[in-house]
Amino acid sequence: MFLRLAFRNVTRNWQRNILSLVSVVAGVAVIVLGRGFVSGFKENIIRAQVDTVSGHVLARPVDYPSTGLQHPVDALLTVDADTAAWLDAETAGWTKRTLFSPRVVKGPDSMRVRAIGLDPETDPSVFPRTEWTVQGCPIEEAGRRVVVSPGVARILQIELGDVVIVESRTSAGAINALNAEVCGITKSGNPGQDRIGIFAGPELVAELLRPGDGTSHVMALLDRRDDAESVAQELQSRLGDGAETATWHDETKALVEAQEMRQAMLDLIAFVLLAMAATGIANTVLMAAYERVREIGTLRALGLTRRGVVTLFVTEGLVMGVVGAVLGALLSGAAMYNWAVKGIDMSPLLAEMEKGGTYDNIPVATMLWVEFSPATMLGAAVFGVAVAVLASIYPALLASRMPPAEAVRA
Amino acid sequence: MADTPTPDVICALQGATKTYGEGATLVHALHDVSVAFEKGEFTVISGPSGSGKTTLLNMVGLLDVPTSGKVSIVGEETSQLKPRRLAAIRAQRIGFIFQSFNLVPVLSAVENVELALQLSDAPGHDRRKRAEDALSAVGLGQHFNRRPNQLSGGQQQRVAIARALVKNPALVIADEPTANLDSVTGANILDIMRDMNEQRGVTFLFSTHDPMVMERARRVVHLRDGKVVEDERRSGIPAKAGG
Repeated sequence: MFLRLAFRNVTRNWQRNILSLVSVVAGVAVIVLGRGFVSGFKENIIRAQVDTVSGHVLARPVDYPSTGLQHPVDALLTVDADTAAWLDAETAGWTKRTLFSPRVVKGPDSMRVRAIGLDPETDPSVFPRTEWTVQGCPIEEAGRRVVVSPGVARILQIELGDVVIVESRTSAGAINALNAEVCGITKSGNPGQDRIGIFAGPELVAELLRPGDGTSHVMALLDRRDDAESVAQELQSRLGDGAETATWHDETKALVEAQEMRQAMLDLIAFVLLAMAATGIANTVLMAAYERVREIGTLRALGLTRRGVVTLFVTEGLVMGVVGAVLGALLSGAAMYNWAVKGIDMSPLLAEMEKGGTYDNIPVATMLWVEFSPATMLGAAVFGVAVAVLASIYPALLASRMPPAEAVRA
Repeated sequence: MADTPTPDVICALQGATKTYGEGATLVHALHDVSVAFEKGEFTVISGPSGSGKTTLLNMVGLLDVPTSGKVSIVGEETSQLKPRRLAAIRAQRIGFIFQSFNLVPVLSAVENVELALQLSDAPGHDRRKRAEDALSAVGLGQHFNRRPNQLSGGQQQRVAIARALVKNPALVIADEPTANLDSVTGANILDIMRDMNEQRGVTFLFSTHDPMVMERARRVVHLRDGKVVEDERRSGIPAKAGG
């Protein structure tokens, strides 16, 4: 009967209660959406980092610069046969990339670029091409030619078949410059690469840098990314003091922490919304109590205890909380499920951001797969209900303190 | 009045005093009132406004406690009882009928009556049937599922009577039960209560200014300035209004 009474009392003044309900719905939804999106962004960043930059484990020369267009080639790594065999056995795939920073000249224009020299046979085993869009020849067929990014093509007004000059220092430090034909324009999904990057065919790299067996980076993909730490340690010991290794976790740490800050901000917004909901519910229950003084007196006369009055009004808060929390969790959960299954195409947004220059070289996958988490939905709903119940306790206590003899004749 | 209530005494006040305020503003709402109400009585508490009628009913109904003195219900002295026990006695032993009906607006007629049974801890399996029987007994057999706002004033007061009687209370307290009703409806309501009194032996205690109620009372306790000034017992009172 209490539950029925509470439910009907809530619906009796639905115009007023709907505001409180909307606040609960919004608060719960922000928790579910915020956590789902932030988790999705975190995974997106990790996936983009793994798929386009580092793989799960990365080795590079010790003290390798981590910012800007500094890609020295004077202290390269070499992978001996034993290490190569070990990498073959222990990883799902591994490859060598040599990064360098040549100047590309076309006619009177030139720009410094980030160049990647890769092994056409092993590179796809670590870096999938699913997000690549290729115009002209694929990088595997570049040979002594270059494949430029859309950004470089735009800045230098390069078209397929154009010949550019690529200037760089060799691994020995000498200045070298070669003519190279642009055989392709490739978008890789890595914003930094797509803005100022080129891919150099292996023969061009060999002639331009003269690295011998050396390479600036070794990247490996694992069957289980949680094994990255142990694989990195073993690789470190095999490559010696001249190398430093890092895992996908090390490489994304700063970005993931930024996402966690974003998560905290979203949680704060959810907290503010639920605080508003709590205020609304407290106000609603308080108004209900003062509007129903005679009813409270009558119930007390009929034998309802003070605790019973508290229970009745808290139940009304509970009903509002449950309705709002369930609605909020279901609506936001349905949206998250849809986005988790279908994904969100980030390409238009990324294109806009790229135009506006609002993001730098952070790798972002074009498809965002948000996290659909029933546990988060349940947790958010329980939190919303708890807020509603707590908010109704004080006005319920006030209602229970009304002297029945006065209340019954109010 | 004897110090030890007789078995027939439903409710007794012994030296009950209720004061409000203090010092110069001290007001005696009830002053050393000793009175007992016996089983099956149909009693009116009368007196001018401010005489202490409502305060006396609040004491008898355990909605308020005396500043000093004792209140006993069915032999149980209540002035030292905890609020939870007082609520239990109200729920099980005392029925209330109010001037403004005081039905719960979001509950139907039968749910209002059933609520009283639930609060009195009556067994759940036959509560609905008992509530329906109580409504049928006051002539509302066709209106079980109507909400209070779908009923006339007289019908609402009948629901209130059914709610008061459904738990077979030792005492029904009726505070100006006809004040918000026209004279015909008021007479009908009064007839119902008289029937319950005569046929079931239900004890009624009224507070009223309504001459029609005063006419039907077998006992009238007159209050003035918080004191009992006259306790009038009558005989030859007609069983029915206008009878």
